[in-house]
Parts: sequence; C-alpha cells; structure tokens
Amino acid sequence: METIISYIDNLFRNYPDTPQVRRAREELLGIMEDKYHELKDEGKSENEAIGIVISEFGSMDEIAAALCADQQIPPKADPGQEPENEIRLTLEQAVNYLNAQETFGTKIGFGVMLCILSPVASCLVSALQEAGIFTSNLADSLGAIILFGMVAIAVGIFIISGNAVSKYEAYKKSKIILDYSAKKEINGQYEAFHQASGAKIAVGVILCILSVIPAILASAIFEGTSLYWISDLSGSGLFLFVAAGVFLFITVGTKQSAFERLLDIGNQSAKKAKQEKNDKRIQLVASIYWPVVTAAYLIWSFATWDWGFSWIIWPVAGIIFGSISAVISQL
Amino acid sequence: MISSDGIRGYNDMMILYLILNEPSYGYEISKEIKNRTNSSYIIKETTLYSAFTRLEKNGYLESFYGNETFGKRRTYYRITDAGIAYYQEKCREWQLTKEVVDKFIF
Repeated sequence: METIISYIDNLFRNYPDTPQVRRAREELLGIMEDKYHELKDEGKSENEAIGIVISEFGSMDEIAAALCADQQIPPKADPGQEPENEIRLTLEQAVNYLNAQETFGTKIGFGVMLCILSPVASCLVSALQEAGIFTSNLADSLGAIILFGMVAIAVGIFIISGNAVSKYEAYKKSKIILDYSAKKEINGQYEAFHQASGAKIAVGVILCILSVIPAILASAIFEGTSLYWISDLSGSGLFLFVAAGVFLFITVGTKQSAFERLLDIGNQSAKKAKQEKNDKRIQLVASIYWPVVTAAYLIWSFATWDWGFSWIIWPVAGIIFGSISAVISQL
Repeated sequence: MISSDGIRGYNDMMILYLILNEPSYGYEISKEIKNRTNSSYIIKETTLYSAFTRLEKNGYLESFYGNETFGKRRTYYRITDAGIAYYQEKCREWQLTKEVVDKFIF
C-alpha cells in the first residue's frame, strides 16, 4: 500500500495544497485502496495488486479540470484594499527561508544579549573599585565605554542581519502556498520543532525567574561583611540569566513565526491587515518611546554617575513598553 | 477491452445508472462497471473522479460522507432529480446514436 501512496504523492507533488486537490487525492487514494484490498483478498500477490491498481489509475490530465474547476475567483478587491498576493514556494525555497530566519533569529538574539549584557561591565568595574582591586580615574569611564561599544556592535548586527533577510520581505505581505509534498515535509519539521520549542521557552522562563537568585543570595551572605562588594557584583548575574532567557525566546520566536508564515497557521492572511495596522502604531510609539528612555537613561547616569543603579530604567521601560503594546493591540 | 475514447460520452450515464436506486461510493461503482461488462470496460480512477466532480458541479449528483468503517470515511454519491432527468435524456440519446451507428454495421 505504501507504494500506492507514494505513487499518488508523487503525482500530486506539484499541485498546490488546496481543498480541491486534497479532496481529489483522498478520493482517488480511497478507490485505489479499496481495489488493492479486494485484489489481495482474491489472492493476488502484493506486486500484482499494486501493478493492477496503478495500471488502472488513468492520467492526471483527466482530473486537471477537477483540480481547478471550482477554484474560487478572489472577490473583487475593495477600493483602497490591495488585492491579496499569493506566492507559491517549492520545498527548497521553503527550507531556505526557514534556515535564513533561523540564522536571523540567532543573530538578533545575540545582538539583544549584547544589549542586555552591556551594563555588566559598569557593574563589574564599580564592584572592583569598591573592593579596591581596581582603581583608576578611568574606571568609571571604562564601564561606560564598554557599554556603548557593546550596544554599537549590537546595532551593527541588527542592521546587517536585517538586510540579509530583506529579500524575504515579500513573504510577509503575501499568502504562501506550498505544494503538497513541501507542506507535508514542513509540517513534519514544524511538529518536531514545536516539541523542542516548548522546552526552550520553559527554560527561558525559568532563567528569568531565577535571575534574581544570585543577587538575593549574595546580599544575604555578603552584606555587611568586608566582601560586601560581591553583592554589587552579583547584580550582573541577573543580566546573564535574563540575557540567556531572552536569547531563547528570540530564537524560538523567529523560527515559530517563520513556520506560521509558511504553513499559514491561524489564518495569517486574515489577521494580517489588523496586525499590520497594530505594528505601524506600535512602531510609531516605539520610535518616540525608546529615544526618550535612552535620553532619560543617559541624562540620569551622567548627572549622577550612578551607572550601577541607573540601568534599572531598562527592565522597567521594557515592561512598560510591553504593556503599552498590549493596550495598542487591543484598540 | 474497450477504448476509453469510444465510451467517453457515456461514463456519466453508467455512473448515474448505478446510483439510481441507492447511493454508492467510488470503488463500488468502478467494480460494478467492471462486473456488469464482464471486464470489457474497466473505468480508470481518474475518469471516474473527473466524472464525479463534473456531475456534482452540474447538480446531477450530491456527495456526502458515509459512516466511518474501519477508520475510513467514504464519500458516497446520491443522484438528484436533475440527475435522473439527465440520465433519461442520455438514454434517449444513446438509442438514437445506436440506430445511427447500426446503419453502418454490416
């Protein structure tokens, strides 16, 4: 029976995965299966049965009309609404896209990690200074220089990796149609990914929750002792945990959305209009919000020279931004 | 064995005939055609399927899912009133065709 299934799969390989095609495949396979079992019951050998079934199959040309006969003509686009584009992808193109998105996610994740870790140097320097291990007039500036250096590298990574995937921009605006075998393969990959991604997200969440533990432990143990500076140092442990967690979220998230786009999960095309509108509003808010936050951070830090504490503005700003985005999406 | 070309116009009629009294499904129809013609005519799967979709589109038959047997859901086909009328018309057409062609048989 596997031979017959792969014969059919092969014939349907280049057809898009539409309801008509799916129905034709199911129905033809159903008839062939019935015939195959009856031939086997009559005492025919496996090879004989397969041979007869395949020889009596006919030609795909005959059902060409059935495969596109009642294909829906897209409704006339409303004025002001762009007609929906469709892109047909082969398995190879789909796999290329997935790989490109995966690389993109890893790079972005790395860049964000750099941003999150950028204040660690300041923490480190100020802790070492308090410990009397490292004293220099340059010490405070050093922390700031490393911070800006890391952010600069991260921004570079964002720009370069964004350019690398810009050729896939069209995939976002169109409905993607995979042919039958490609859809099957990508679905299989998605299932495997989905299982692993759940575990990764869980690890990320646990990392974020655990991120406060080094600080709590260190302050409980070393506060008031001569090693009090270690509790200052432990603040950077928080960044390490959060950075690792966020890296997991970003890499899993980008791959997830690549799969969703390819497989049209949750009817992306219908959601897209609303999504696009929200994205634009969120972008607008972000374009004002983040420069203001950055300015506030810099003014506060340079005015007080309290780099060891002023970083608190980032996690707070991040959470506030998350709430703002959530509210915008609901509007 | 008969050629598919010669019988092309009458596949619809054969299918409709086989569901005149009760609904049937793909393989049963194909098997009935083979048995009734003593294997002189074996309808190809693709021919059968394209006839189903064409007849359904023209409103001559309706498809529905039968009960699941052994985890398999079969599509059944049921004739409509328009289908009965179309079948009768095809019968008349065949009588005429037969009379005409018979004039050239020696």
